[in-house]
Amino acid sequence: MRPLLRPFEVAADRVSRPFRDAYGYFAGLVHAKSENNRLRVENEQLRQQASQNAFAASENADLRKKLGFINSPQYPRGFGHVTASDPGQVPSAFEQQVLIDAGSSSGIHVFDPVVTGEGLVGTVVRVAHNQSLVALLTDDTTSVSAVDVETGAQGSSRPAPASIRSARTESEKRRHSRHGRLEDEGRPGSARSTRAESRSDG
Amino acid sequence: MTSVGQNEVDLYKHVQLEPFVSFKTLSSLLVLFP
Repeated sequence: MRPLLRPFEVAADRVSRPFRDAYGYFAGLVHAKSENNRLRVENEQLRQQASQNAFAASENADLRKKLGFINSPQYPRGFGHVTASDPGQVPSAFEQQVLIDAGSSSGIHVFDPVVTGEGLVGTVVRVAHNQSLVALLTDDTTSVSAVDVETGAQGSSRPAPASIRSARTESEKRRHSRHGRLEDEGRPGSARSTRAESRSDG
Repeated sequence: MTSVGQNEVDLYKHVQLEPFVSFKTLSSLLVLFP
C-alpha cells in the first residue's frame, strides 16, 4: 500500500515545499524586524546613558578642579605596573601562594595588587630584592575589600571554606563526566569560588 | 554570583561569587603599584 502512495507523497511534498519555504521566510522576517526594533530601543538607551556618563565625568572633573581636590591614584591611570611571567604551579592546596621574579628593585611593595587580563588574582605578601611572594585570592589568609557597584555596599572578599570548594569540585567532576568530557584532575588551585561578605542594607 | 544568604543573627550578608580568573592557568601576572 505504502509503495503505491509514495509518488503522491513526493508530489505533495514538492507542491507544499514552496509554501513552507515562504512561511519560513516571512516568519524569519517578522522575527528579524522585532529584534531590530528591540535593538534600536536598546541602542537609543545606551546612547543616552553614554552621553549622561560623559556629562557626569566632565562635571566631576570640573568640580574637582574647583575644589582643588587631591586625587588618590585611580586604576589604571594612577598606577605603574611590572609584568611577571609564568609563576608555575600553585604549591599546595593549603598554600595558595606563588613566587614571581620581580621585587623591590622593580618598585613592588607589600600589599600591591596583582592582576591578570581577567581581573584581580591576589596581593603581594612578601618582597625581596628580586622576588616577591603573591598570595592568591584562593589563599585562606587573603582577604580583599570589595564593593557592589550598583548598591555601593562594602564588604570583604575571601575564599570559600575548603568544604564548599571540594563540594564544588566534586559537582564539576560529575557534570564533566556526564557530558563525556575530560574529568577535572582536582589538582591544587582548582578552587574557583570566593565568598564575599557585605554589610546588609536592612 | 552563585548564592546569597544571611542568618538572622549574622551581621553580614554572605555572597558567593565565581571569579572570572582561572587560577589553574596563571600564565602572566601584572603587579600594580601607585
